[in-house]
Amino acid sequence: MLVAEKTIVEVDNLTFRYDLRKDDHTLSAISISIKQGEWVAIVGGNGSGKSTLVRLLAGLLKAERGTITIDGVRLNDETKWDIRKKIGLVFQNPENQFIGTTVQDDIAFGLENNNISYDEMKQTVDEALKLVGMDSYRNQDPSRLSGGQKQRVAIAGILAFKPNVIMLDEALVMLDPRSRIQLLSTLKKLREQNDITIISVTHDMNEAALADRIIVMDNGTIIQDGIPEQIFINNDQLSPPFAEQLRRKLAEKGSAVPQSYMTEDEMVDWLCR
Amino acid sequence: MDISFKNVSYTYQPNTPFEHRALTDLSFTIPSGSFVAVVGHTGSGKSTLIQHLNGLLRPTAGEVQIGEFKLTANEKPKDMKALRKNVGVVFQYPEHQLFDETVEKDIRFGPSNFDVPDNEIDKRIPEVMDAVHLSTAMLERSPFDLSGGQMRRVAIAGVLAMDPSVVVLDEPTAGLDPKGQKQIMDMFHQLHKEKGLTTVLVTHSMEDALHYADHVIIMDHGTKYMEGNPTEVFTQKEKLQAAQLDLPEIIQFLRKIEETFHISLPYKGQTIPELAAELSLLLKGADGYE
Repeated sequence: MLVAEKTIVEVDNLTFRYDLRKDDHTLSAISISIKQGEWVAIVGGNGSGKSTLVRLLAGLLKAERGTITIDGVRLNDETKWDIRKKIGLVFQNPENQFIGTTVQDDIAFGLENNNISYDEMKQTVDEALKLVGMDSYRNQDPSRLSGGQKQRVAIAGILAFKPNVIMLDEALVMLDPRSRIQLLSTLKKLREQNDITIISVTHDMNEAALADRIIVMDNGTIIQDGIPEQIFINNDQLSPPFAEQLRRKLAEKGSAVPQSYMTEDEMVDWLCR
Repeated sequence: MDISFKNVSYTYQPNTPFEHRALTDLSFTIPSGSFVAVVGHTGSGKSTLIQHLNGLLRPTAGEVQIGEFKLTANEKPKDMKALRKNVGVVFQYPEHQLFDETVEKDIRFGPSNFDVPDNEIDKRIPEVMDAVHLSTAMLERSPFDLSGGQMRRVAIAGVLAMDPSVVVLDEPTAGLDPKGQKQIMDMFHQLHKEKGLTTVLVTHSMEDALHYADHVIIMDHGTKYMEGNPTEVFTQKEKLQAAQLDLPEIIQFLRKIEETFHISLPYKGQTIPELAAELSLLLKGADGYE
């Protein structure tokens, strides 16, 4: 219901290889269409091309063939600067991107580069820090923060831009489970309030299960694309959430469990019927 | 090597505006040969703690003892190098430390800096490659041509090549796919048993702590919040939640069943298949009365 009919990200026949001298393609003819407000999880083994795909979407790499269209604008060398204001990318390791000597300076850095006025900047930095729960750390040196705190600051830096699309490249791995849940619910709220689209590359199947849609990549291609319930039922290569693992084992033991994917609560309800 | 912390405090940048106390009056003992998991939410002091284990940090107050090596505010071991040779630390994203032209050169770098003779290193290299499940055919390749999971294994091999007796792991599976995560953790568990290592694992994964460790230390706000055997610690729901931690999934699930069914279904180390067997017995029993 949240998902509007407007297509925000359109990828058509995208092909990419890192080394043009070699034949092995990191991505082979990928096509995806993502609607505004959608939450899409991209999963797959290490080396399946997930991170390459998000880097192409952010215009950090150049496709060999195929097109990317973000919010109606075709991504190319001229448009990439404008497109980057619409699509924010949070990386695995935020340490590599800190610039400011304090947390608030670091978040202001991106805004300064975009000629935002001082007053507006001050307010935006405040809001972004509150959203990730880091406002009490604003005057600290980002390099002195813990791994998970750094990740929150990096996410705040993206939120400050009020982008249409936020891409997370394994951005939650260093967070403890509780902060991960908190940040996920923050992102969920942002999506509902501001119609932000979320594309999350992840190995965490509990996180993927929360998405509207899961795209499974393998060896540079999309092998599955659908709602979490379908994906976990049809793919036995993925490690599904706990309840689904238990459901499969119960089925093996001959229990009359439903043949469809179950969340933990559904499983408890079923057991108690 | 036995490890003990006695009333250890650590303050970053003392007497500056950036002063920040990361550890407060922390005491615990890790007997030689144990597998200890250190758990806590971000910023609870876990990474600061482990940097004391090989003398990267020295306590601001209190005393750290690792085997025969002693660290206090005013005192450091005469032979810091020997301490570091004995305590191998696998940092977060260890593959970022790879630098050399070939896998073999990268693995050699550590031990040769610790004056391990060349012929001894030659002997260790195939052993450590085997330990991290990489083929020796990979030794001549550039570490930068490998996949993320392979790079991490090479970096770990470099630590193991120093033949440490204590291995410290800081979130060793972050960023790996689920299959890779399990492989790496099983590998460390196997090494731990085979080599009689003392292993300290820093993790956010309650599942890993429950599955692999024989002792758990829970950190909160720079102090030790709970300590004990994993099953004991991880069944104390209210206390864990107060430290912003959750129960491992399986225990959470058992609790839910207990609460809704009003039966006793305690956690006793069962795996998912064992739990499934237990539940289907319960279900059959219930059907019988219908």
